[in-house]
Amino acid sequence: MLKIMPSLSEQLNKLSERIASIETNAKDALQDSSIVGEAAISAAIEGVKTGQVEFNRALSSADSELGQQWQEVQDSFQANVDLARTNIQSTIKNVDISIAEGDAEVAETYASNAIAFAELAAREAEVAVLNAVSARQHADSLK
Amino acid sequence: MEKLSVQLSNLSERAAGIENRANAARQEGAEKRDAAIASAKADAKAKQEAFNAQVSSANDTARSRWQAVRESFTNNSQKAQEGIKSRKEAVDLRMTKDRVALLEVYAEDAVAFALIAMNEAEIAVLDAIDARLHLEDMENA
Repeated sequence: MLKIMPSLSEQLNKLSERIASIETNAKDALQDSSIVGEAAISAAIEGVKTGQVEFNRALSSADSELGQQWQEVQDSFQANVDLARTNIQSTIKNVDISIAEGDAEVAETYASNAIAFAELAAREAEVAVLNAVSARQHADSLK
Repeated sequence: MEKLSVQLSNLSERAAGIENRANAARQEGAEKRDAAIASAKADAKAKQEAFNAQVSSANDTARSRWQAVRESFTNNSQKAQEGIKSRKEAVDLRMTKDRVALLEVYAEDAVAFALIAMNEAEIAVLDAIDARLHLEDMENA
């Protein structure tokens, strides 16, 4: 068993479960508008907070340079997310239909970009996992 | 919402496949592992270009924010890869162990960050559904 795999495998399982739940939540939301709202979004935000705690915990074990680089990525990502979410939340219940149409389009464009970025992050993670697996196999072959 | 659904489905397939491909890589010889890594890198690069193209259609403010995030993410990846590459040819067992440890930490961080990005995508999708349903309610009123 590779040294990293219990931890990494657990995280990869979370990744799969997380994305499966996103699909389920989105489908449910489309079928029943009553579930969309504070509860569903609050639950998703709690998921983000948990993920951030885990990410920060992972960073604390990284070497300082690597940890600092990841922190910069996280800060940049979080700043974008916070600003976009604030803008969307402040306009999402607009009572003017033409403005509400624009707001829906902005929210959908942002969601589309967020998904595209998540996929980018997932692909980077895949490359990193494969590199780690390959390096571990190489190290084992030297023993 | 079909576009978002399709994108979510693609993301789901990609995420679900990572562990399978990692497990498969462990069973393969070095040559096939290298091919798998090259293929994953090519996919990542293509995705990066697709992301750039997609974000370029956003308004100026949103575009510059996403570009800043993407640049920060790409710079981090490149710096890490450079650090790792410099130790790639190590034949000394201790140096090799150091390199493995570094790669494994980076992989764990990358997966943890991907989880955060996916959680944020979930919120964004829920917000978008909320906004669209609100509009439909107004149109039907």
